[in-house]
Amino acid sequence: MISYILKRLLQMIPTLIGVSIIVFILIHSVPGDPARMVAGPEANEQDIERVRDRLGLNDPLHIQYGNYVIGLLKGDLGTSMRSDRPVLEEILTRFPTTIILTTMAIIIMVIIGLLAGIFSATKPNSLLDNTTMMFSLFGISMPVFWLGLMLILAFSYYIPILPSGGNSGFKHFILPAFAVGLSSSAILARLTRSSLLEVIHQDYVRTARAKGVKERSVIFVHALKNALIPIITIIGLEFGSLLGGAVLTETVFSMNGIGRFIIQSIQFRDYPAIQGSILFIATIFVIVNLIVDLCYSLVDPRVKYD
Amino acid sequence: MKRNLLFVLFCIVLILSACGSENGSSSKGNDIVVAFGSEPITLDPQDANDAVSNQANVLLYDKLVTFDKENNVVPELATKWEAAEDATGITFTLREDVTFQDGTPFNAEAVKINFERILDEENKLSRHSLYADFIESVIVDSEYQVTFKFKEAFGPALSSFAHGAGGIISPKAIKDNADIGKQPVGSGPYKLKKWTPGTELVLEVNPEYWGGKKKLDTITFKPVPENSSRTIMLENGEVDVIAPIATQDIERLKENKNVTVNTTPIYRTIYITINQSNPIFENVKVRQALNYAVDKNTLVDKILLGQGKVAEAAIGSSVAGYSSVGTYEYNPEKAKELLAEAGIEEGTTIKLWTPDGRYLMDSKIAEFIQANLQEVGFNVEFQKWEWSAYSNMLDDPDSDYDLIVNSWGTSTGDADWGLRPLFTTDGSNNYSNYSNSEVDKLITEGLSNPNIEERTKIYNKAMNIIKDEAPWIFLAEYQTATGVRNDLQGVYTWGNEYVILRDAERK
Repeated sequence: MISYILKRLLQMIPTLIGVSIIVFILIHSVPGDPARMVAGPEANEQDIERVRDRLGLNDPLHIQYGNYVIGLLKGDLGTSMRSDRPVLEEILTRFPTTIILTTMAIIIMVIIGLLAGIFSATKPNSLLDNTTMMFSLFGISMPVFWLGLMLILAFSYYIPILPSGGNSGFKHFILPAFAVGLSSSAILARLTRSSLLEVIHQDYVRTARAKGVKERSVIFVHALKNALIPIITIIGLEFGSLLGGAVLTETVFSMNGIGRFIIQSIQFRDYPAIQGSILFIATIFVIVNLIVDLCYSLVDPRVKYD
Repeated sequence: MKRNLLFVLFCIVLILSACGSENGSSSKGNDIVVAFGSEPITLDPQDANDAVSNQANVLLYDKLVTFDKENNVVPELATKWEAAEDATGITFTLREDVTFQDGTPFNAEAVKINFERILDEENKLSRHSLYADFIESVIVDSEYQVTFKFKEAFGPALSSFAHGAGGIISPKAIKDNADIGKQPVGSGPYKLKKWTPGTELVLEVNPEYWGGKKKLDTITFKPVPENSSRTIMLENGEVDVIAPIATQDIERLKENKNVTVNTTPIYRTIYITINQSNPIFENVKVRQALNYAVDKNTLVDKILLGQGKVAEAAIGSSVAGYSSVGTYEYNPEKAKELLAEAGIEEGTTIKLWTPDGRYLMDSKIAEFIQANLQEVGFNVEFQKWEWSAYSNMLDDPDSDYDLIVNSWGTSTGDADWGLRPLFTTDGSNNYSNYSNSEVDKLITEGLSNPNIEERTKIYNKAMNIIKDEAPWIFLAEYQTATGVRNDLQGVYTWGNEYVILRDAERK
């Protein structure tokens, strides 16, 4: 197990080098000039040239990449061209917002999605099942920013009990977490239902029922455990992608998270900030994937990592 | 095992929730919250070129002279000034009762240190050319008198000193090589309390302010990029001031009895640059035809929803040195005639490019114009651009554009800055590649004259020639709308689009 984890962590290194090269090439091939953005629309050529020099953009590309990698090896993600702050500091200021939002959204998604899926699966084709599946279809089709705006209208405009934006306290996270959590729970509900339906007709479930195990225990202990593998996969994926920033949700709710930071950096062509945050997210994503893989062995003893 | 895992997860969530605990940014009492579309980039006035940074800097710093509500230049750190008769210099007499927020006294030496900082090219400050273009040297005449010598005669100097970049920084902070952009030290009525990047910038009142302590305790700047979120936050009282308001939200906000919508004309105009290096547009008749083809009144009424007016000159009507030179009437028949005279065949393809979301209604305006131009027989290829790529395209000599949507804010508020970069032969933002020696001469003449009435006449001549030669499709001058909660007063907007909070107070 330990050696497996170490091996996976070592595999991260080539992945991250690959990501850094691809991002570097991509952002430099997109038209746009950070010096122009820093200097402002009224600047003349000399102004832009001065800024370009200050930002180190006059060096040849391979030197710029070399400097970047040397910085990385020292644990330095560079300095934002827009704000002149260390990129790592910019990311760490925003990361708590993103991780709280993600965690809350995942909790909401798991509670609602899993329960809805289980109830649907236990009474397939009943009224409850059909209603749940209808709502979940609605949930999948609904753009998350629209749901966000509707939640704002409902709970901070017509019934003003929750703030519509910001990230300065627990209250601020409730609406965005529901916006993200509800949309994701729709997918989870459908997946749980189909995965559980597959298991529920297997022999061992019938055996469990035959020997008189209570129905609740049959579903939650015997059947669900075997249906969990795809469910964990989707939760892990969702967790990883939300940590990469729920861009639209963060924008609608004016939250200062990683997603909005990346968009802002891209619009400004803030090269170090884009590179740094993409690399940061890639790292998180790889780690989350590792954790998901480890979870498989927790729920299914047949999965072994040696 | 599983139970332990759950417990650890629970603990993590708990700790993380604690990180984001409530902090005192409520909009009650003498604390106000303002929401703009972005956050300040730098609090170094000599390096700032975005409106939000400048709006914070106006609170943190004082300048030698400033603007009043009507955009007239009025004294601030200088009590009076005297311009040299030939406009080659200016002498300021300074206030004697001013200290910076770090206790350093303000005097002529402080002014000299500040301007020498921005004039030194090695410092690579982004506002360098605003002053380096005309200031030759700064001379300390006495403790409280300072003289600027200009390279050549420069009439609009006073507006340049009133520009945000003229904010005076504590000379001690400059000597200590402090990071002014993040640790500002000015002499203004508010000082920096806390800045959480991306979340909020909190300024608190400076109790020692030479002009008397201001009424508000704190002013918090919050970045809220989404237009409709900003509007809702103002409606339910989460914030006290918002700017800008999306055009389509203005009417709804006006009906809200807790909110006042202030509409202010600004210096900024929107227009279409016609690339004269393209052979199709060499003939002046074609350029005039483009102007006759566009229905400016409908554009202002239906697309800007009244948030502007039809442009009657190349600069906005509140810019110093403005005079109306009239508009091209909407006359598609005349446009067709002119095109026929110029030998332009029906169905000629031209490109119309626009940024999307950079200027108020920019791409909507462009779509409207596309329809107008197609009516007179052009085949218009329309393209929207992301701003950064668009500004890169403007700078690229090979980009071969035809018609491009552009806007200019004339940030000094003086006609010179609204004309010289855009219409002189070697102007830095002359994207239409316009060149007329008479116009060059008039703009230089206006620059070297210190008398605003005489300059207005000179610029009137220049703008008449520019109108007739039509290097642009002249469209509209903008207004800006600011939303303010009714229990707040003293908020106004300058022509350069800065929302001014210096005199804001609760009713």
